[in-house]
Order: sequence, then C-alpha cells, then structure tokens
Amino acid sequence: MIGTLFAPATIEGALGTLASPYILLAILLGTGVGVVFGAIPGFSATMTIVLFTPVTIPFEPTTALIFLIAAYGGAVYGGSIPAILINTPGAPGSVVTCWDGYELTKQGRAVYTLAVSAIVSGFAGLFAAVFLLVFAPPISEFALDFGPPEMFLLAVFALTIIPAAKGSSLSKALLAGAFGLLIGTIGNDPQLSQSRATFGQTTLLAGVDFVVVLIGLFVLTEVFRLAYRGTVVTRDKQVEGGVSEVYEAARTVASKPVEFLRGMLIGTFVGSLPGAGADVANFVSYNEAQRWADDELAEKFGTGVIEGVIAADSSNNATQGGALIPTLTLGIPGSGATAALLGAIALHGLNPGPGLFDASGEIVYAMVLSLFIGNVLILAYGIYGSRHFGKLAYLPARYIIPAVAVLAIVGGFAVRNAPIDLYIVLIFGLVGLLFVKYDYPLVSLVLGVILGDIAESGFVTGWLLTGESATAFLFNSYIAVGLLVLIALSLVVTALKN
Amino acid sequence: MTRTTTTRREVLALGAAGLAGTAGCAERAPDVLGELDRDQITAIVPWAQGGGTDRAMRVTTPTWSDLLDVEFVVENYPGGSTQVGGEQIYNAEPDGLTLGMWNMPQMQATWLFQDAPYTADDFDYLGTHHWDPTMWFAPLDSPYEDIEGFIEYAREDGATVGITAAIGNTALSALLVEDAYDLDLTVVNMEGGSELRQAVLAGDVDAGVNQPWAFDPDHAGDVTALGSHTDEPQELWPDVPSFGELGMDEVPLVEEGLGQWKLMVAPGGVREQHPDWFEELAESYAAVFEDEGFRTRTEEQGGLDRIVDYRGPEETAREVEETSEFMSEYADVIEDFIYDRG
Repeated sequence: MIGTLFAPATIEGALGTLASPYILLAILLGTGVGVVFGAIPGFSATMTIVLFTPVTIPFEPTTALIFLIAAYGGAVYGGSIPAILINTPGAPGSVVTCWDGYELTKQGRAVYTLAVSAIVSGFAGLFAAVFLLVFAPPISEFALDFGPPEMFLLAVFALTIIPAAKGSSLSKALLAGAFGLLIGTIGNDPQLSQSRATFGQTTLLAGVDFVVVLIGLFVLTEVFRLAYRGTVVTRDKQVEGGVSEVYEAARTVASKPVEFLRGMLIGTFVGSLPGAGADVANFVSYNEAQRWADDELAEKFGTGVIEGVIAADSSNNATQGGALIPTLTLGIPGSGATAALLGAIALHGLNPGPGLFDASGEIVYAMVLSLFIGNVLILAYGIYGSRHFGKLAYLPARYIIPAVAVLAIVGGFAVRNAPIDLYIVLIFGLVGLLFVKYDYPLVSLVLGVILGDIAESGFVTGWLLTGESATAFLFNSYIAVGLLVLIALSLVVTALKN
Repeated sequence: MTRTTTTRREVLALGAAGLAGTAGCAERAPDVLGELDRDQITAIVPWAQGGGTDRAMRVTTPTWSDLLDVEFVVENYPGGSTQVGGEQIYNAEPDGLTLGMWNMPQMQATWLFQDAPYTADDFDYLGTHHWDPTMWFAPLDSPYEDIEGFIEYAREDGATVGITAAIGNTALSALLVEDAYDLDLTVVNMEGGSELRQAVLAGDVDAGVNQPWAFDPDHAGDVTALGSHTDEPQELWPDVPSFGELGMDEVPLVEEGLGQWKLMVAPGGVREQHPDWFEELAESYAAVFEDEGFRTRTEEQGGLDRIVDYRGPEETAREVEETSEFMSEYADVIEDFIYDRG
C-alpha cells in the first residue's frame, strides 16, 4: 500500500527541482525563519508552520512546502538557543536542553554549548532525513501497530523518568509528578467529552496547554530568580568565547558517538509514533543517557554535563524524519508540528496518505531531500551564530528580565490567543518559585502535565478496545510487552539507586 | 536588595501591561467616521489544523478574499468538542468581521449535551459548504464484507466500534444501529478522524464510523467500506451500498441521511445590525462556489468537489433547525451513552 520508494526517475526529477535557485532560497529563508521563531519562547515548530502556511499560499506547492519543512527543522533547533542561554525552552522539544545547557551557560560555556547543540542538531537532522528516505515503508507499517495500549505504556515509560529527575528526593519527585498529572486532567474527558475542573472557563475545556505551563514554570520562575541573583553567568566564572570553543564543541561531539547515536535513534523512533514528538523524545533520550552513564557521570546530570545537551538535542532534531513517515505515507501526523504540516500539504493540493508517493512523488522527494540542505544550513547558522548568540547570556539582568518577561507573556498568550493563559503563566510562575524554594523538581510537574493526556487517552481507549481486560491490555502486542520490560527495568534501576 | 525589589516590580508591571495590552488588541475600533474598518476578517475553525473543517475553510478563504477584497485570517480554536471555537464566534462582536466554519450535528451537541451558553438562535447563517455522509468502515481482513455481515458478527460475539467524537453523527449512527438490532457494541471514542483511520487500518476496532471524505477516498483499497447511513449511495465511494439499498429501514435517519454538514456561521446580530454587509458577505460566499480556482482546489482535496453542497442563508437556517430537532429527538440515546455507560 505504500508507494514505491527509490524510484530513480522520480528522485532525479526531485534533484532537478532542488537545483532551482528559488527552491534553494526557500530553504535558506525557511530555515532562518524557523530558527528565529523557534527561539522565541512560546513559539513552537507547530506555531511557526501554522503562522507561515497562509504566507505560502501564493507560491507553487513545491516551493511552499519546502519552505515550511525547512522552517520546521529550523524551529526544532531554534528552541534550544534560549534553553541554553536563559533556561527558557523556545519550544516544547527543548525542555530537557535547559537542564544541563543552562547550567553550562552559568559556568561561562554558552558558546561551547550552543556549538555542541548546533552540531548535534544538524547531524541528527541529516540522519533523520536518511532514515526517512530509506525506512519510510517498514516504519509506517510499524507505526500502525502502535495503538492506544502501546501509547499508554510509552507514556508510563516516560513517566518513570520522574523519580530519576535531577536533584530531589524520590517522594518529592513523585508528588510533583502526580500534581502534574492532576493538572493534565483539566478539560473535557477524552472518552465522553464531559468537562472537568474548568471552573466555567471555556478555554479550559481543551485543557491547560502544557506550553503555557512550561512558560510559567521555566521562564517566569527564572525571571523571578534572576531578579534575585542579578546575572545569568555567576560573577566568579570567566566568560569563554571565540573559535576555540567551537572547535572544542566539535571535538566533544566526535568523541561521544554512542551518546549521539543513541539520542538520534530514540528521536527517530519516538518521532515516528503517531501523537508523540520532540516533546516526549527529549525526555526519553535524556533518561536513557543518564541510565547508561557510569555512576559518577549519572550523578552529575543536571549540573552542566555536555552529555545531557547531546542527549536532548540529538533526539529532538531526529524526530523530524521519523514524524514525517506516518504523516506522508499514512496521512497520520506523528506530532503537533506534522499535523500542521499535514494541513499545509493538503492545502497545496497534495493528498497525504498511501497514494502520495505515487501521485506526487517528485514534490515529496524534493521535500525529503530538502531536509539534507536544511540541516546543513542549521549546522552553518548554528556554528556561526553560537559565537554571537552566546554573548546574550552576558547581558546585564536589567535588560534580560524585562525582555524575557514580555516574551513570556506574549508567548503564553500566542499559544491559543486566550486571556486565561496569561493568568496560567503567572500562576505557574509563582508555583515554580514555591517548587524551587522547597526543592520540588519542576521537571516532574511538567512531565506529568505533558504525559497525563497521552496516558489517559491511551489507557481509556485501550482498555475499551481490549475488552476491559488487564491481561489483553498489557500484553496487547509484542511492542506492549517490550515496553512493559522497559518500564520494569526503569523502576528496578530507580529503586536500586534510591 | 533594593535593586532586586525594583526589578521584581518592573517584571510585575510589565506582566500587567502585557495583560492589558493583549486584551486591548482583541477590540477592533471604528474609524473616525464610525464605520468599521473592513480590511480583515477573522475566520474561526473550532478544530485543529489539518482536519476536515480546517482544510475546507482554507480552500474557501483565498477565493472569498479575492471576491470581497478583504484579508482572511484563519484561527484554530480546538477543544471542548467544538465548544471553544463556538464560544469564540458567539462572543465576537456582531460586526461581520468574525466568522466561523462549524459542523452539524456537532454544534447542536455543544448546547444539548454540554453547557454551552448559546443555542441555534444565537447565530446568523451565511450558507452551507458541503455534506459528508456517515459511513461505516472495517479492517480489510474482517470476516464480513458489508454492514449486514457485521451485524451478524456483532450479534454473536459483540464488537468494538470506533467513532470520531463522543457526541456527533458518528456516535449517533453507532448507537442507532446498536439500538435497532439490539446489539451489544463497545463504542469507543477515538478522538478524531486520523486516529479513527489509524485504528481501522491497524485492525484495532471491528468497525469504525466516519465520513467518506474525512476518512479519505485514497484509502479505498486499504479498508472495507461496509455501508453508508443514507438512503441513496453517496458520491465519493459509489460502490459502497447505502443502508437504504440494503433495506435497513429499521435504523432511524436512513431516509433523511445521517451525515455531517459544514456551514459558515456569523455571530447573531450581524444580519440585523449590518444588513448590507451581511448581504455582501452572503452573496460573495455564494459566488465562491462558482469560482474556477475554488473548484480546482476542492478537486485536489480528495474529491471534496463531489460533496460540495452550497445552500443559501434561509435554507441553511432551516437545516440547522431540522438537525437541532432530530438531535433533540435522539437525545436520550446519546445521554444513555454519555451518562450510563460512562
């Protein structure tokens, strides 16, 4: 049912398309736009695609779609820039980048960290493009086997990261995670559409958007803390900059191929699952990186180790190739961003689904191949830009605080144009302060909010589909069994460590 | 310490300014002559990007924009089974600068079975867009080839039936078939068209209920289409038998045809307060359906051109009323599903 890949004539045609200067300009602009918008807190890759889709209407489909796909890749990478510089994930897929990235910035290593991020993001994107080109048909079949019970188990597996979250006691991490899950239940229930805890606020029927929660918890809380601390980089640290930092970044990445490869594979795998994108992949990848690290290094995760940044940024950029597989071959979006892309593809007259490669092969191959150029550009923009973006970390707090506060508030509102979200940003900014003061991990709370929805939907739907039987539910497929094993391993390791 | 306090105040002040500023942006001010500045229309879609309603809106607005010489900005407000977007339309100023594409019977469900503050009378209707009938699908390797075979199978072993939303035409169709043939179905809300499609393709459900265009006719060879909840066969998958052809007259709403209407809606009061502008909107909307560019775009949308069905404001209002009536008539079936099974 999947169109034939590697049709030489079609690929030749696609390469010819890519040689057009207009197409190259579209990739150049698209990647640049993506990086800039992805770097704005609150502006996810999804929103960047949605925002620019109408702009592409006058253009012919190939140029338009290549521009959007370049913007998609750029935005996923761009989200890491503020994560590293100001502890503010520009996009949901960069939450984990903050943990070690920002710590490194505080130690004066912003340029180095940004360069590492650019290198792993660019190469992960290239890897994802190869993967998409070669493995689209078998992966799309596999994605279909990932039904609601498997989604529930994947969410539970990701939730087992909660106890492993950095720097807190197990009980506090679990409590914070449970609070996150509770927040995740706000809104209409997934099965019968009856409202829960919406307090008469219609916007809350759709639940609390986790990006808004993220902005409150990470951005506003950090703004408050920065106001006390006075500077991003602590005064006793020497500011490191220049070309030598970029060289060292390249050497670091080259010396850690296993960490890099693991992150890429996780990102590609998670990305290819319908409904899970960079926001889930970076948590899973970080957790696995910590799990596989030796005890001494594992202890340091979250205090500024470059392995944490590599784990996060190799996985989030690798999701783009994986997420495009079910989107293009089945018409089933693998993430929020690809759902928006799906809309744009349909708008430009293409029919995502089984017949796409046959009906519009040249355009689709041109899109896939443009990912290669786009990711080379991410490397170029990122490596060049890291030396300049890095300086932002050393701006005095009196400039950073108002600018970031405004970005946080505008970004929180921009997510869905809902005034209630401004209050949610403020509330979670204050909640974040309490969490930090009493040493409850913010990450566990966020994880609960992000995964609660996926877990609840997967559980309720899967439960009904498998005849309300726990055995049929948990052993629904070989994938479910595999995930159960991973969950058990994760819990045992965590229990032993505690 | 003093500096820290000042900075925090600055942050809070900025926050307050941001709140006030963004709230202020929502208002649209008249110009010096008291006339509304009609250079931009907000087009609300109560579903996420990429879905059927979103695609239908986005193939329509380019032509409508050219005809009216007004820019359209499409905004998506998903959630609450369309109530979030519905309230955006309801609460908008009745100045004709905010419109929305909604769908029936989902819109009726928001006030009949949820706590929406509006009813059908609180809106003005510009016209319908298309009608997508309700259709039943099954995985390719199912032991039945049509809806009658499925009913036999379900009678013996029970069956799982996926629907796209808890309260709408797909739920109603599943519940009416269950009731008519005294079956014991496990009706599962898959929360969306693409999720339902995945469940059918993967064989997670014994049958799935959706609309043929929403399901995507490109999948014609990948699934078994069991039958359509209509009297006559529908246009998109013409070989699929209708319930009427199969003689399933005991299922309600077969004669009327159970399906999903997409329609263009304005906040109530536009027609009364701005009659000329309403007229211009309605006429230009009607003209969209005659436009060659629009027809081409709908052809490219998996055969949307074959189900496009424009009806004018009066007829649309009548359709809304009729749909409201039949949803009220079958309210107990849906309420049983929501409250008793839940």
